[in-house]
Amino acid sequence: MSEVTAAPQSASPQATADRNNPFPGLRPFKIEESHLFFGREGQSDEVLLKLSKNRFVGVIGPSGSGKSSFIYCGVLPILYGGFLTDTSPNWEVIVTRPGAGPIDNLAESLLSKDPKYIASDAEEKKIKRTIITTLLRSSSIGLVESILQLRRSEDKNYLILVDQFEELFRFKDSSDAGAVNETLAFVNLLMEAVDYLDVPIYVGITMRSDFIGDCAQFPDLTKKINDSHYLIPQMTRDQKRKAIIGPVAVGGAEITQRLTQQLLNDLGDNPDQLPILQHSLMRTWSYWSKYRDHKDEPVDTKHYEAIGTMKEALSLHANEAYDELTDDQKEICESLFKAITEKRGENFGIRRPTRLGEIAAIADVSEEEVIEVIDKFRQPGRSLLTPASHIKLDSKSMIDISHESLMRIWIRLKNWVDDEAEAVQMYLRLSEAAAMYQVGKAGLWRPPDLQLALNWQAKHKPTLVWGQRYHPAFERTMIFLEYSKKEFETEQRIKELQQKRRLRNARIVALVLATATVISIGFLIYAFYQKTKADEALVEVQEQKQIAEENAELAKKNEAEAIKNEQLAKDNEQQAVAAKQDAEEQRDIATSALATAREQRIRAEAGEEAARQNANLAQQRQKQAEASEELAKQRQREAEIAKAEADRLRYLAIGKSIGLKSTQFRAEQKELKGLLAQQAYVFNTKYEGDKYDNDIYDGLYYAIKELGDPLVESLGGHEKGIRALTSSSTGNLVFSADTQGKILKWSLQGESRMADTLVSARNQSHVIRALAVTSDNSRLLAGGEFIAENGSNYVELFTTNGKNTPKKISGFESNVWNIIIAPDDKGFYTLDKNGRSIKYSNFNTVNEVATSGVRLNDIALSADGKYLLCAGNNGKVYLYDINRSYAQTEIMDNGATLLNIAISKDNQVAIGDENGLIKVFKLFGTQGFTRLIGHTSPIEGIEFSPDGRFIATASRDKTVRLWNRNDINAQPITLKDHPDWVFAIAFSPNSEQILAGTKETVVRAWPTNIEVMADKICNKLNRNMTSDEWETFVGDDVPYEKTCKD
Amino acid sequence: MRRLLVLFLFLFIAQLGYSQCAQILRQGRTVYDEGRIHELPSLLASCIKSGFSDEERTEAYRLLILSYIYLDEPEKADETMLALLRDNPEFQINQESDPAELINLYGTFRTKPILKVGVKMGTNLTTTNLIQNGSVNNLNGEIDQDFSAGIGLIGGLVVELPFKNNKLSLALELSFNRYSFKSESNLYSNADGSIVTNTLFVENQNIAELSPSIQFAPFKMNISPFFGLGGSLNYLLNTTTTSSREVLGFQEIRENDIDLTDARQKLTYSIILSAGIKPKLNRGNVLITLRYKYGLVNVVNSDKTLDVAPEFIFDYYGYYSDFKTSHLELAIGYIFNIYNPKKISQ
Repeated sequence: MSEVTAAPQSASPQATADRNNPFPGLRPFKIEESHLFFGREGQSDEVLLKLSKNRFVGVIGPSGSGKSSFIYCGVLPILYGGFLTDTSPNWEVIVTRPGAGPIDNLAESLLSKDPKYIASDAEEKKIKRTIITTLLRSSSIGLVESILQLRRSEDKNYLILVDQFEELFRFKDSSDAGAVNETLAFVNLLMEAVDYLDVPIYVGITMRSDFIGDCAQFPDLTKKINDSHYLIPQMTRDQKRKAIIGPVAVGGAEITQRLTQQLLNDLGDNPDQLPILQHSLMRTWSYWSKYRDHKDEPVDTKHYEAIGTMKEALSLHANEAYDELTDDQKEICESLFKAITEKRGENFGIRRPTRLGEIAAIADVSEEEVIEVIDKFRQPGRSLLTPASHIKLDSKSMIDISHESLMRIWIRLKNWVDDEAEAVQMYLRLSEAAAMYQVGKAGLWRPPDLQLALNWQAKHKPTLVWGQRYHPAFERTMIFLEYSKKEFETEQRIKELQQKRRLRNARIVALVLATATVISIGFLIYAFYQKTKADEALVEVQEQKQIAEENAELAKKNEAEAIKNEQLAKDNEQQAVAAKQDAEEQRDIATSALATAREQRIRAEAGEEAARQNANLAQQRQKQAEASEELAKQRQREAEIAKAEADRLRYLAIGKSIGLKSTQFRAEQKELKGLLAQQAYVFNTKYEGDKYDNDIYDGLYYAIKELGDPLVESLGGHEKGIRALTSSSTGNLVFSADTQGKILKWSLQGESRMADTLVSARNQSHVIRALAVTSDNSRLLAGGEFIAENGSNYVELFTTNGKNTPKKISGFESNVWNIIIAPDDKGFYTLDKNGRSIKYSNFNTVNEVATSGVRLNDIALSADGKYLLCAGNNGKVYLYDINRSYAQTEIMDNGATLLNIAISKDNQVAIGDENGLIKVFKLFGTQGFTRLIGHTSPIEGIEFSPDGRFIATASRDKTVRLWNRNDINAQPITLKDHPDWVFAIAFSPNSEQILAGTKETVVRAWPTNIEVMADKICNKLNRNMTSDEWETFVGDDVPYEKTCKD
Repeated sequence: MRRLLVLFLFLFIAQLGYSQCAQILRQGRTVYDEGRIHELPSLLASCIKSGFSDEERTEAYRLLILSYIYLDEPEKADETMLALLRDNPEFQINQESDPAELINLYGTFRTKPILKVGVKMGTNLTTTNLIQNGSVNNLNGEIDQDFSAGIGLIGGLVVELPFKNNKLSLALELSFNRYSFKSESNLYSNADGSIVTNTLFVENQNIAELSPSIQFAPFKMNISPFFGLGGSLNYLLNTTTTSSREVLGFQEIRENDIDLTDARQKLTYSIILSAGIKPKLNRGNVLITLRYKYGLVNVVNSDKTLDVAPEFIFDYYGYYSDFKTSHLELAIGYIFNIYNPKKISQ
């Protein structure tokens, strides 16, 4: 296989272009290119001298230093020129490369010079080749004999040039004894030929200097090399310059000074870079010749930079080849390059020449497919892979990277090398584990190792041949992996089952414990409550008792004192009487004795004065006693007032409780139910309870419902769910629309509710989701999920007197969720396009006024028409300032998804969210918000009553709640009697009723004033409670009273 | 023993999974009823994948669809509806009680079967309509030949292609029919009117039939009554006549099966009137149909009779009369509905 003689070139355009290119690229210079070979002038002589002297020369140099080129273009031309003086000028040069079969290749090279051989057909060629091969193998002088046989003229000298001698060592499979012998035989052939003096056979070898050590195993060869070798010197900067400028000049072009300089700088001192330089120059030349601006333009840095400079030219070039491949070929390409490279150390990839057959087996494809890929990389002008393009490939051909630097420069290959290294590492780990497992020294693999191994397997799909390159026990390893995987999966399944069982047991235990805990806590709370109540009652009773006792004692004391004083007074009086008698006796005695009598009388009169004084004193004491008694009475009155307040509260409590109790009665007991509800109302009113008490309301509502009062009858007329209700602030009309498109107009007059049908149910799908009526009740708008016309949705405009065909206002996108008429009645706002667009219409044309990135679920308009408030699906409240061209501000973040928003005339805002929580705050206020807790399901509607008394909220928990705005934290009236979710609510214009539309066909009307219902009950009953009933349901310690007047 | 234990454990766990899902569905109903529909998709997701029985899954899908409708997520509602219809193409909405939104959504899908395929089998009664008498014994012009009806079998395949409004459909039937009818004559009476010979022929025809028809189902009832009008192309496979003759007082009964296939027309045509009902059963309909098939052409190739079966004519005093045949069929079968649900309009 001689590169010198056998160089058939295809006539492709690429080849033609390349032929004009003075740079060979990665391949060595050919012999006919010696006019392009510059930079090693004068070095050939020494080689020729050594050759002539020893009939052997070894040209040795580092990789890429240009050994082959030097021989082809530096030495051989001189040889042919007959400059070797001491021998015949007739030379025949046989160039061979050892490759994978050095002797076969040598035979081929020998024959390729023989014209007879060239002329013969394939069969003959094969025979001749076999003869020569056999001859070569038969003995160590086989080469000499072969040459003798083939020799055509006596004075011919033969030079056997073994190029790439290191392939003997590189391509050798050291485990193959045949190959070792073949190497030895090959070396012996050469040595014998040199030493055979009868025939002038010269031997030249080129070899990479790093393999020189391998030669030491052949003593003859070592000696020859020692005697005659030429270490190829590194080129100086000047020589390198020549190597650049020379070919350019030969090519008929010029190269700028700065490019030369840059090339030399980029080149550096590493001899390894020479092929890269050649390659870059080749690419630069190609680029220049294709894209130069004018004919005489010199080759310049821009051309050099365009091909990616020396740093990237190779990588780009390789990528070009790679990109030409089909997807399947790309995979083969990856396998190919992975097979012929190997990673040693951290950042150090080395070549690993591999037989084509092996590559095909690794990639698991046919050899032809691999050859197709390889050809892309070794076509003329590319030479990224060896053998060179003209050499035919067969399964024994060694495929190699033409230059090691490709591994450094081509990023893709670098990644492949790393990738492959990782794969090998994993495979080796796995193989080792499999071996250990086999001898029982280790267990199966488990995650994360197992997972990594499985990933590796899925990614690399290792084949048998691939695996055996690195570890022979491929099958065992794969079985180990499979077994590990199965084992692990089984284990996982068992674990899962166990876990499920445990989880269930734990759940049951938790459930039981939780139930027990809840019950216990319930008991505990109840016990505490009872105890507290008992304690309070006890304390109060004791206090009352003590006060009463004290009062009683005081009174007794006073009485006793009074009695004592009276006694004293009486004693004094008696004393006085006795004294008087005594005095009279004395006077009688004195009368008889006159002289002494006067004296005696004066004494008596003095006694009388003392008695009078004593009587006065007694009277004073009596008055004091009376005052004490008055005080005692005062205390008693105070005690009575306290008792009255306690009684009032008690009566209110009784009222609430019997109201609540009344709701639990069955229909059969409707009279008693009514009586109890009414009595509850009476107590609540009489003792000034909450005007809007929920229990009283409930009691009355269910009582009059049971008694069949029209006030609480539901409003019929719709056949499907109701999702829209509306009313204006004037008149007495409420409008309702259902999901079949039917719209009813309700005239409300107390309990009389008359319905007019504005439009009947439609045939096709027509879900009305929004209604709005102008303030004069003249025009009604309806929007929702209608069938689009001409790609856009519309809103229907009705007049409100009688059935009529609506006018369609078109221009809306997707479904219309909400309609709000501006306060001036001149236009209206809509929310459409799945909550992402707000539009304004003047009843004729429609304009989009705002858009939202966030889905808006509801919008509300302030009473002054200046602000639009929007409830965002992300839980945020947005404010659009209409006067500032709908500038958007986020004014609140609720967290949970907001579904509804409403604003009152006094700018109070209420929002309702997905969790059923209502928040109320003042627009632009500073006070924060109030939470209204009660609903348990998402909110569907919020309305402020026109008279400002209530906020009404509707929810999917089937209730409407009326929150008293004057006492916002009080328990709201809860309107429970709905069969399904409440979708929409609307107050009557006078605020006396609220209408609620539900998911089923029902519309309910609820009075907002309790007394309306209370007034009805007694008219429907013709009896009062019996005393038994009173005692049972009201209380035996509560004095009986008549609930209804007779 | 251990295996048995594992088996029991497995059954127990399977049962547990099942009942957990049943519970989740109950919970789902409650959650929906309470309106917390935003919680439903995640609640039902895993059981919809596996764990629900067929009915439960349908209900779960329905709840999901309603949830998506009220959550204003129409794309998801569409997806779920499609999943439901693929899972249970027989799913029907209740026009009365279902929400209008669900009815509207359902209306935007193709929910009717695109094709119905079935089998039927039954029995038939064949009568003959004489066109012209023909017999070697027909010398005195008054022959006493009586054709009478016989009972046969029918079996076949039915394909129905419903039209859009579902009232009309195109039906194509391919069936195998075995028709049978008798002919009896008493020939050669004596002068006193007493009979000399008795002949009896029982003809059995095997016929392949291809009959297209248009079916019309005007009433919306559970049993789905229908009427049909069509035609049929009948191909005679073979026919055999079991012939017997007796000369009274002189001869035992002679009997033989004679192949008359070539003495009959191969191809004949008929028109068909049909009526029947198709009550629903599982995923298809039971078919009970009564068909009257009126023969339009003469079935006899009278010229050939003598060549084909001289034995029939001469030994058994057979006939070569021209006649048509008509058939009354009663068949029962079952029709499967084939669905391909998809969104048909926005």
